[in-house]
Amino acid sequence: METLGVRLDTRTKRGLEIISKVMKMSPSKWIAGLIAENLPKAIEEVKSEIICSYVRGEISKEELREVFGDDAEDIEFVAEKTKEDFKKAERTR
Amino acid sequence: MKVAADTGALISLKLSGILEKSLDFFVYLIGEKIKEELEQIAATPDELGEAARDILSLIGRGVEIVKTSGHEEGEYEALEILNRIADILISDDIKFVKAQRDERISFSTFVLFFLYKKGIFDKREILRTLDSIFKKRKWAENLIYVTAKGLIEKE
Repeated sequence: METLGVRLDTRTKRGLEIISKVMKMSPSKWIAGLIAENLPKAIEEVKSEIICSYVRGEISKEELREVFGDDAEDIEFVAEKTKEDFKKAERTR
Repeated sequence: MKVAADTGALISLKLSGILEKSLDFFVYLIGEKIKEELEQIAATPDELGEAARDILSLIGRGVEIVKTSGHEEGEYEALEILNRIADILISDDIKFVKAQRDERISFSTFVLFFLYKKGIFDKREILRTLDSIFKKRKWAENLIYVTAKGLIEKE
């Protein structure tokens, strides 16, 4: 298990305490569940941005594979081929 | 330049609004199989159907029909056209492009890059064009265009 420190404003923290009291679990456990439930959807929404970051060289092949799994192979191929096409367009013009 | 194109590539170019603008530089060659696929899509009452109808309306005006030996799949019909008369082939079928490993075969974003390098589109217009196509399809369907966006942003 990893620990992620998150700063919350007083109102949010108080709300979280009330929720955890009702749910009968610790605030951090409730938040961890919420993140686990919503992270895949959030990642899905930013996948396009992750691909752009990979093409711009801001994230590594390994990071790409961690997010996309088996799909990373196609993304790597498309990125390489697209770079070739970009150079080809320059030569063709 | 003579371009053999498959159905998906033509639809992508139409949806991104660059097909017509590219006709000053490219002639798109398609066979009966791809025409048939476009006709099937054209029968649907949605945005894809409209795109297919627009492409079919360009036959004889930048999109030309070429006789082939007959194929079950549009990509292989386009490949025959490439080997016989075209200069390049564009396809957005990743598996097909990957399997061929032929430098004459490109994704449809080649046309976008060509127009960009030619100065027909500036960077801002290209990025706006790409964003407009992203709203119409899911990320996996947009993979080729998302990659193009990353590359142009890097420029």
